[in-house]
Amino acid sequence: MKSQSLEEPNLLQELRDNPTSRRAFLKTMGAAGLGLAAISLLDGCGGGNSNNGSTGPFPLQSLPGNTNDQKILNYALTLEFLEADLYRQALNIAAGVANPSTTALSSNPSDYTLKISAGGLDAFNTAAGFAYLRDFAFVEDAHAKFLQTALSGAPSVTRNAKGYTFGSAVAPNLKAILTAILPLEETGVRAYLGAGKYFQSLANLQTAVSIYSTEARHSSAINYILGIDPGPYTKPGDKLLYPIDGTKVSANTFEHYLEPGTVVSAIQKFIVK
Amino acid sequence: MQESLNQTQGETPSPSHNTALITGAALLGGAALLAATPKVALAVSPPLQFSAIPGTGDVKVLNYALALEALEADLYAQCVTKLANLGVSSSDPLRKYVTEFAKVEAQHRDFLISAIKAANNGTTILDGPLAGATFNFGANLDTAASILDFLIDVEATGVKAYIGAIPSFTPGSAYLPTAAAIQGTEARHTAALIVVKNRKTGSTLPPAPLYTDNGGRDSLLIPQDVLDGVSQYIVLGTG
Repeated sequence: MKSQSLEEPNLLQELRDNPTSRRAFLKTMGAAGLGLAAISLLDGCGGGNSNNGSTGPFPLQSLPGNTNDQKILNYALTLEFLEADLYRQALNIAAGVANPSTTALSSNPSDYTLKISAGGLDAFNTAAGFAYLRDFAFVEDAHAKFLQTALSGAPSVTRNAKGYTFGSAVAPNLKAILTAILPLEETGVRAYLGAGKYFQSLANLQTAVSIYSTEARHSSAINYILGIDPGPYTKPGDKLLYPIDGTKVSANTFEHYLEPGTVVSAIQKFIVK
Repeated sequence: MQESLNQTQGETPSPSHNTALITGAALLGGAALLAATPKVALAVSPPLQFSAIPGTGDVKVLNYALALEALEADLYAQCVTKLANLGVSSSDPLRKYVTEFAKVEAQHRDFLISAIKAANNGTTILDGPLAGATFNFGANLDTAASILDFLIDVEATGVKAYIGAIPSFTPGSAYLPTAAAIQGTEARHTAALIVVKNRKTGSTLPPAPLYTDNGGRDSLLIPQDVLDGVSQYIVLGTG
């Protein structure tokens, strides 16, 4: 699942390099009713310089927003909507809630208790893993609401009307659920870091970093529960701030990032079309 | 000095540190900087001043980050030795992570030294106000449990310190992504160590802010509050 989430950049590369493919792609996506997502994807083709210096305007110019920074915040909100919704569904599955894909998040975390098997996790990882799933679900919901408030009065994206999906059904055990959630968190970390350099306002960057580092915390905690190194570690498609030489820079010395266009491509499979 | 190092957890902080705690607590809505740790006598009096950090603009804030990373790297190096001396098994998750994170923090320190030297005629804060300085963490490193608590506090302070340092950078600075990329690793370290503590002690500390805590976002600490908190562990060189 982890490697699959970042497979699509090849398609993006082709679209970037081939105008015919771009036109055909836009037509296909338009026919599928994917307006914003399609245009945003092609926006991503325009940027993509992987260096870490100052870069000019945010690549996804078709996102709503009167200013560059509002477009970045809308990019973040797009990701938080997706993350919050899939966390809600995951928590519902873990808590045995009927109709997990449509039942709203409760107002009280203590309403949720684990009702499915641990999937082989030990007693601590089961209790802690469920607690983190529950707590992070409420946090991601709060992140989305926070960004909505930050963008109030400005043009902003909305939740995808048809919802979000993990794609294939997630096995009803805690380990499988956390395994399905983890790529969302790890991609979120990389998305925020990749977008940060486009902010014009340091205050906005500060706000984004205060969310970004919680995604890093979430990733680390879930990694631990799943018996994975807390990270950072490299995933396919990652952009590196500095080359890994194993001495001055190891895989876990700095976080890694993804350009916005790459992220938009990678999350398409989670968006119900 | 030895007497003050044996001070017990919960002792009233010195007046100058108490002021820092009040400032930090106000900023964080109640969360106090390094408040859970045993107090060591202030080795630097008065605390390092952000205004006295060498350089301007990016160089100044990078020197500030270097002061913190140098402290962290030295702390981890001391913890690696301490945990071995305490007989903590090499397979223990605390020792495993401390060994791993020690390397990371040393890389952060060395990276910053190189970056600052390249931008500032070959000199850093370690050649200036902190020349010859050492770090004394006192009773915080007495036991495996106190080491774990202290590392969690220091890493969490690092997370907040980097957020609070962002306004000190030049807008559009190429160093900002690097600073954020370091900050994310501090966040991961914090969370991993909290989960280790939960497993070891049965505590249920959240590894990340809850939605009821600042909306589930990390808080910030302004540079001077961080310096007020950590200066007590710095022993200035005599030269």
